[in-house]
Amino acid sequence: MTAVSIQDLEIQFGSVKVLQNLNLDIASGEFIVLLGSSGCGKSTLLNSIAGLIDVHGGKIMIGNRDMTHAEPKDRGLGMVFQSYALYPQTTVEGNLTFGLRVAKLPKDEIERRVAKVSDMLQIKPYLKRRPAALSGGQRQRVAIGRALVRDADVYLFDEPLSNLDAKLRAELRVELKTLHEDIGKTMIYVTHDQVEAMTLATRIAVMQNGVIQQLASPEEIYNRPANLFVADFIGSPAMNFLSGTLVPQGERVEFRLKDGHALDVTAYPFASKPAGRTEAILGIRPEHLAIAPREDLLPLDMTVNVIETMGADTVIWGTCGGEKISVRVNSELKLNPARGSTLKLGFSLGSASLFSKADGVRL
Amino acid sequence: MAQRAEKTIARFGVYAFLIIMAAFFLMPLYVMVATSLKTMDEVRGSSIFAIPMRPTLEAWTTAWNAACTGLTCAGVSVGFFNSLKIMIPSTFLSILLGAVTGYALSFWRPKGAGVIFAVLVVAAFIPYQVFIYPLVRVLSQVGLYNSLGGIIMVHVIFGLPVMVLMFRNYYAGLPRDLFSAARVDGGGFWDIFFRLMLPLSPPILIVAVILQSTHIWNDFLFGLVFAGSDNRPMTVLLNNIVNTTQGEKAYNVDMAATILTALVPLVIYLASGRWFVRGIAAGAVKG
Repeated sequence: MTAVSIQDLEIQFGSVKVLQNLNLDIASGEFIVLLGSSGCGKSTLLNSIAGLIDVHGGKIMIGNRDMTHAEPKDRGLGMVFQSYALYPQTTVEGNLTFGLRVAKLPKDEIERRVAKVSDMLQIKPYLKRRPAALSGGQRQRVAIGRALVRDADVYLFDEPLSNLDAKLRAELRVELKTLHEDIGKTMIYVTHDQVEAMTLATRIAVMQNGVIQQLASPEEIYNRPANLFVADFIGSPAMNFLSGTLVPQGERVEFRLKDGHALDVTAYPFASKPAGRTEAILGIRPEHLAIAPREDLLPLDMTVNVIETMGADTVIWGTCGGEKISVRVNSELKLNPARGSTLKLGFSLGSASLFSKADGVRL
Repeated sequence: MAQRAEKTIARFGVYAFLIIMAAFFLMPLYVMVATSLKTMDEVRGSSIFAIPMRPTLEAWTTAWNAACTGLTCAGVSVGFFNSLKIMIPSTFLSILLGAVTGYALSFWRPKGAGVIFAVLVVAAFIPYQVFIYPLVRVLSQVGLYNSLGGIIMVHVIFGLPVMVLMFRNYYAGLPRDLFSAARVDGGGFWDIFFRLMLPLSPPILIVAVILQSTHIWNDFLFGLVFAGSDNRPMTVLLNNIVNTTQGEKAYNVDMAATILTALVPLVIYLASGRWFVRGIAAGAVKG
């Protein structure tokens, strides 16, 4: 069992600092997903853990050993690449055994490991085939197998499912999750796909511009995003944002929308109560807006614009006080409000988020 | 119909052009073969384009083992084996070194790799006559002047820039993830080279073998300067046969000796033409 700890990591390409003072502690057996859009530094971070790029400052500890400048082969890792990176000149078996042959393992041990892994991943039927003769899904299975036979302590995944079609991606996602539960090894997984992140991770690190914006469980990230970026990045359709002003009045706190509409947000679990008038942004997920207004919900009015039917759900787009919002409702309700009509909505403070307008931080 | 007729005429023109060009380039070869099969009497008595009336291989055997190359009269056969002794190790070593260097430059990127590569590229374009005198001095200092080892070393050194260039570009066209995967998989510098990169290299290896072997076989200057009298390559002996004659010039023997000398590169080209073109094209598109 191996924990990974990254301390004050700094990486630069030429004069561009890609990562700066980055800290990340990963417990043994965790499944950490590094999530972010392209160019956010997530792959750079993963490659530095693998030892494939040079580190300019800070430390990388793997299992309590300083591996900052160790050769990749000495770090005890297995890695899966987006492009599969299978050795094209040799068979599936040759791919699986490459590292073991280099390490000069005894023959029977190699056979035992290959048998075990090929059973686990169901790649036995094509052990003698070349990678070129395999489909994308089969190739990625082999690539995962190649990492697994190494019997490493930490596994790294660099967008392993991005090159697969949607159906295969969903299948392999479940297999990866099962695999993690079966072998219980530490896994670090890079992706830009929030569904993968939400389903696989024990904790997600949302990254932007080389900085980890929030490191928390998927539920926490989804329900209590630490800042506007995380709130906007996670969820589809994206969270609704309404800007306004927080006005403390004695014990009460009011949130005044741009159009003057005031909401009583006293019950909101503030990190610290606002001292004076504060510009703020109210965030509500589309599915947390209820169509039928109830007594215990805060009311909002929405002018309907477009209706999108997505199968199980229907998304209604419109405006509220001039700002674009969306509502996700169950298709069973068979709602079909006319364009331009007004829908009465309600939401509970428990599922809403308030962010400071100045720095985007959760209040 | 009109269109088809037009096409036929165009095609006829193309073929006529190609046939004429081919004949033009084949003419010298025909003259050489024809002359080599004639006796000197016939050479004197007929046009150079005339078909040999009584073909004989006499000139060929003379060229192979009896023509005089200065003081000795043993034909080009000695040079043939000398050339083999020079060509085989030089080709092998220059390709191996070029491949390793190209691999290191494109994947390991040591500090200063860019500078090293730039220097190599520039070096590839410097006329090598410039280096001859300094090299003679250096080799004689270390006792390699006029030896087989010396001429092999010279060929390896001068072959290196082009070999490195070719292999670097070829390896630059391979996905970098392959290299990364092999590193995580436990491969060191040599493991990755011998177990992964070399098995992926046959297309470029074939091109390199063709380029180097024909180039080294055809070399005259280095062989003349560095090989020493015991290791003179075939080209140098051919020159001696053609240029040192007493009395009548034996054109038939000269032609036979020339064809014999040119035979090895000719066979290499003919046997590998398809690969040669493929390799050049692959090298040109990638990198």
